[in-house]
Amino acid sequence: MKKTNENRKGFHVPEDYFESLDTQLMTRLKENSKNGLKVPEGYFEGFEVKPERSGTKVKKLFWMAAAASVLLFFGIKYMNTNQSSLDWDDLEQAEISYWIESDLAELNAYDIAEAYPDVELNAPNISNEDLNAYLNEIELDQILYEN
Amino acid sequence: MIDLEEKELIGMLRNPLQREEGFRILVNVYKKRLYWHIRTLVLIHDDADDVLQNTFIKIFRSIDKFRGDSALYTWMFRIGTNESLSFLKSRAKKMNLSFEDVQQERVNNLKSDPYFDGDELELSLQEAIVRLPEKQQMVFRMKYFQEMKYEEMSEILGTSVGSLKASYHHAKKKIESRILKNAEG
Repeated sequence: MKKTNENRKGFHVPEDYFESLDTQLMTRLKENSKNGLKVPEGYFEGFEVKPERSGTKVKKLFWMAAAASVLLFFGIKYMNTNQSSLDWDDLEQAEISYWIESDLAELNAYDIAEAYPDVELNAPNISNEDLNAYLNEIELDQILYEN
Repeated sequence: MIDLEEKELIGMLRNPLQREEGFRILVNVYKKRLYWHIRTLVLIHDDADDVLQNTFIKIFRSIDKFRGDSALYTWMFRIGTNESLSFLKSRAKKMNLSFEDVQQERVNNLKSDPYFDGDELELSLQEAIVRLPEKQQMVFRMKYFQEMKYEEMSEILGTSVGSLKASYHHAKKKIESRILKNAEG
């Protein structure tokens, strides 16, 4: 095994280790700047659109949930201004842009509820017993695949 | 405090157009000192190489957080020290060992590291070091292997020079006594 003359009380490094370190580090930095995500060679050349599978229903549910979050967020805002009804036409373009640019789409219903602790939504009149009974009976998978 | 050359280098690292060139200079200036600091703590070359590269990547990414309250090398050595200790602690966790046991494992592996050819005395020195408390180990390694000044150590470890001298003195006594005991036994 070749070693350099870098010898510190029995410790050595491989030959040319320090000389090649710069190149290794620059390569790592460039790889990391692409988030370290790679695809197999020729992946995009062989890319084809696959037929829709049942799993896409989950995606639909995700978008429905996202849309519900947007409506909930702006709904709370407009409720504070005592406006009684709300639909998409009530949203100003600037507010929608602000929503997207501020990454507010990352918020879920729980985050929004925490941000507005004083606001109460007019929930339908369901007793806790009925709600518990429903949650115990319903299968979440069933909801996902039905929508 | 940072000197003019460091200031220029930091300026380059913070400028997107000069960042790559600045990083090359930084690596060239500090690679050997940082490597030997890390190698002294993790012992095995391959691990020292991993930790060193992670340290430089972290330095590159965090350069905007460097406030200049201390010298650049002090800040970099702190990152290198933390990366080395994190490496040892995460290895201990993965192997379900205590921190002391994982250091003993390092010494055992040192015998098969192709980049270590120390004799029996140097191995028994390592055996004696890993039996010291963590702070004494650190001070002894930095003083004995890296010949670092107490003032530099004080800035890196955030401990007073007096306390570091006392730690080194205790560490040296314990090591001498252990090596002598082994030689007699």
